[in-house]
Amino acid sequence: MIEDKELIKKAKQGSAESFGLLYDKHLNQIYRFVYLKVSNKQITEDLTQQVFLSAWQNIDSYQHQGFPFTSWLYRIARNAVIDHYRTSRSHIGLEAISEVADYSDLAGELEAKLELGKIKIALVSLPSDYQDVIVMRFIEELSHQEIAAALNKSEGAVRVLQHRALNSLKKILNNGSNN
Amino acid sequence: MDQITKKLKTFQNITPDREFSQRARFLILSSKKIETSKQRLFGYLRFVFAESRIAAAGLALVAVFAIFVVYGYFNGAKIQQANNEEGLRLAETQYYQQTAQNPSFFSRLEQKLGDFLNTVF
Repeated sequence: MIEDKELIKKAKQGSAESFGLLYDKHLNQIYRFVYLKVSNKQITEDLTQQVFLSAWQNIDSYQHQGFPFTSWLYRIARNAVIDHYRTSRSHIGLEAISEVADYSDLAGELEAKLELGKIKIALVSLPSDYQDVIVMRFIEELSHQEIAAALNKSEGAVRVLQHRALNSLKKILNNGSNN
Repeated sequence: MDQITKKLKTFQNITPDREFSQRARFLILSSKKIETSKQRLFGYLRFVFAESRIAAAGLALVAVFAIFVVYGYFNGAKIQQANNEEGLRLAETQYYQQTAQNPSFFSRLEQKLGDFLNTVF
């Protein structure tokens, strides 16, 4: 398997094929990240496409400084989501539960689907930084260093953020189950 | 690892539609790279810099050639002058040598007249 570094080098020289391989490799991660933040399939598709288009247009400005290409993509995705929310305030509701249910066929039972829906709603209601850390750490399983690079924060700050984010998520879920 | 973090992993099943992936891939890769004004400016500067380097190299060549021409001209003139002076000296020496070996009528007359005047006075 060709390393990202090699593919980026070729993409910088104008090789669309190499960038295509980078796209194939990172699409799922970026799609998931955007989806969990906007909760709408159509908007997720638009933003994901925008992220990769922007990455392709600006591949020259990417410099490997000890953190992976994924961190750079997450940074673009994060900005795209922020821009999206700045221009249009989306509503999160039952749609989030139904779409999660579509994706969670493996979970099987209706109860489990509803549980996931609840987690998703709780996740989306968290502050943006908390969402980023939870998605990157517990869903995408990135290292603290990679998350720090993507969020432009120190590793220590990411650890603190992760701790707070998890506590907030638990709090929201506990409050939801008590009500 | 608690229950919530375990459940969060279930979201790993979220993947884009194949149709979307293919369509987006095609659209992204077939898009031309758009140049921003900054990139255009850098491109222009690179071009000017490259052009100026070529111009500077050309100018340096012309300057070196000109130096050779000017140097050659003055050096040649000097050599010619030296040659001329040398030639003149040679011609003069030759003339005097020839005159000494085959004196002309007037020089013979001049000499005889000198000898006569020396004996008389």
